Amino acid sequence: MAILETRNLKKYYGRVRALDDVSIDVDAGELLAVIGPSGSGKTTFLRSIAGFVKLDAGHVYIEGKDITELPPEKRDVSMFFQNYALWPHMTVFDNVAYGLKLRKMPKEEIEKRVHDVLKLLDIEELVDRKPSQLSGGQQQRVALARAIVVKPKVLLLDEPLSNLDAKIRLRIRFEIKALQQKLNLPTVYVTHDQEEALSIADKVAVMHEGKVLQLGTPEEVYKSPVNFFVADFIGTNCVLTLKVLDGRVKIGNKIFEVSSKETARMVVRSDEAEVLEARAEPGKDGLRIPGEIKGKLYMGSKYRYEIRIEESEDALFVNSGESFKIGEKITVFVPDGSYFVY
Amino acid sequence: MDEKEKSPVGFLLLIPALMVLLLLYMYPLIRAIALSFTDEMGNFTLANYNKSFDLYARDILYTLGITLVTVGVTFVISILIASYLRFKQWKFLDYMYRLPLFIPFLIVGHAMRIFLAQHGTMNSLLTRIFRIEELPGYSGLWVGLVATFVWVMVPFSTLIILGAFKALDDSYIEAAQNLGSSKWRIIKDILIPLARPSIMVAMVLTFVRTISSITIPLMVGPNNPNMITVDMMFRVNYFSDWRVANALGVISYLIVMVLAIYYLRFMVTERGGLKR
Ligand SMILES: Nc1ncnc2c1ncn2[C@@H]1O[C@H](COP(=O)(O)OP(=O)(O)OP(=O)(O)O)[C@@H](O)[C@H]1O
Ligand SMILES: [Mg+2]
Repeated sequence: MAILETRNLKKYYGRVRALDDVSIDVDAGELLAVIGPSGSGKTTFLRSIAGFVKLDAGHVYIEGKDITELPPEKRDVSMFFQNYALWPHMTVFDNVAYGLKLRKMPKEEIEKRVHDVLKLLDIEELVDRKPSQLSGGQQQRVALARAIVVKPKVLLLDEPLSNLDAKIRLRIRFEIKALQQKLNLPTVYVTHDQEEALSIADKVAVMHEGKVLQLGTPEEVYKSPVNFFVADFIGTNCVLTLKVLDGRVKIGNKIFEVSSKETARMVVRSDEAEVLEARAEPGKDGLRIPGEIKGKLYMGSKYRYEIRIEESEDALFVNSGESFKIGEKITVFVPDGSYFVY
Repeated sequence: MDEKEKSPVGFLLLIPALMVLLLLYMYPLIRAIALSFTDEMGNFTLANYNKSFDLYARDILYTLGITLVTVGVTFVISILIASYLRFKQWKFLDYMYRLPLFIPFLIVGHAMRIFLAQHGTMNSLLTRIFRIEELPGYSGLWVGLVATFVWVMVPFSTLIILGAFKALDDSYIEAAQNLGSSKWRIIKDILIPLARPSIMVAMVLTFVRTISSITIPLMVGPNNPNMITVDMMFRVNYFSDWRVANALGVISYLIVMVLAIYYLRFMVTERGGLKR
């Protein structure tokens, strides 16, 4: 049984649909990543689980119990705030111990649990500092410690890595995943970084304008996006606008039937595409588009090419280890499953 | 540029303000202190102070007591109103609590006298509701005086405290709530400690405004004991005794000074210890 169930959540702010019929479950030990562009309703979804948003419709269940009407302080879910929200007048110890003190735990027990969790997160030596004396990464860990020390039923993380610099982000991503698995905590992880979401989630929900467009494993969402928006939002892509003739689109060696009238759009996973010599024969099945090199950027281990094709006004951007000259005729090869037409 | 370098232009700009301060504040203060230590002949003496303590020791304690109780009650009520308005929107309360700000002391004093008198508004209401026969009047009692002071002090102090509460990021409150904190605990553990500097300012101002008020104790206070301000007025009006009046004034100054020093020390440690 799912620990966390949300059913038909709706929240409107005037005409803005922050949540539009959202239903998502999170199982025991599962990490759900919620992704979507800014304003798509990710934070609103988290806050409605935590009880800070009064829903217009829908229900939230934890372990089968309807908590929709419970105030935030009675919900037993822990939220990690994007700005950390560490209380500046308390030391690290007091910040982390606060939830335990509210639960009227004996002093020795509190001390033990706080020290255990600080040790788990490798920040024991910070115990007596004030938040202002911590770096961003350290504050992030303290906020995480404060959220997990109370052993919540569900952990809610709102863009936990967005305030950290890129290098630390990569490392902490895996630490969070390991920690979440170790504690077997059902977790909702909000981010607008699709790569981050794919790499750590068991399940991904792609949101747009308050709706969940697709809910599935990272592989499903990446390999079989349900619509143009999901295909374009996930992965590193080029979008080609193509002309439709008699309900059909012709590009390179392929012809597609489409429902759209005048133009169709093709999403190409540029990481999967290759640049080949004009007459080369790839060993695999796929889309082959003849084109011409228009621009070239040196990027260390590889080159980045801007490629013009006949079928579209839009350029393709593809990386390749091989060197081609500007003006050279080439073939762009995209393996099957790495391009989508809508 | 070295910021510590003092610009002479800046100093020149300060001169008018300094002159006003010296003329209107420092000069009378020094004169008052000087006068309180001299006798009619102009010789140094402590007699004025001896007399002050002989005659008014009880009034000094009474003044201190009234002021502290006023500060305490004002603190509680202001925190309650400010917390309520921090958690919930209630336009009516938001306007109502400020209302007394716009009513002059004299009118408040008079209104309170009528309200608190033995056969005044409050008692006639109580008599009717609870069918009690005889009730005492409060306007001559310290309770009435404190109630009037609180009525006058609460709006301003709430204004300051609510401002500080509203400046606190929602996430501080939500983080506490999320961990299971009730509204009361949030007030005690999060709001008050984080707004402490502003609360201190509000309380210091309440203290100073109460201890230096004369209209209200004259109108609603009991005749005996009296607040120092009233004693000072009597000393001047009935005995033309400026010297003892000034000694009493200096004693008030000292009380406020103790508070000021305590406050400044608090501010210094706060700046050093609690960086945001
Ligand atoms: N309290 C509010 N009042 C009015 N509108 C709101 C409120 N909170 C959110 N919204 C609106 O609801 C929509 C969803 O907001 P939400 O904060 O959930 O987006 P988000 O996906 O978290 O975006 P971001 O990636 O920028 O954090 C937005 O259009 C936002 O303007
Ligand atoms: Mg957000």
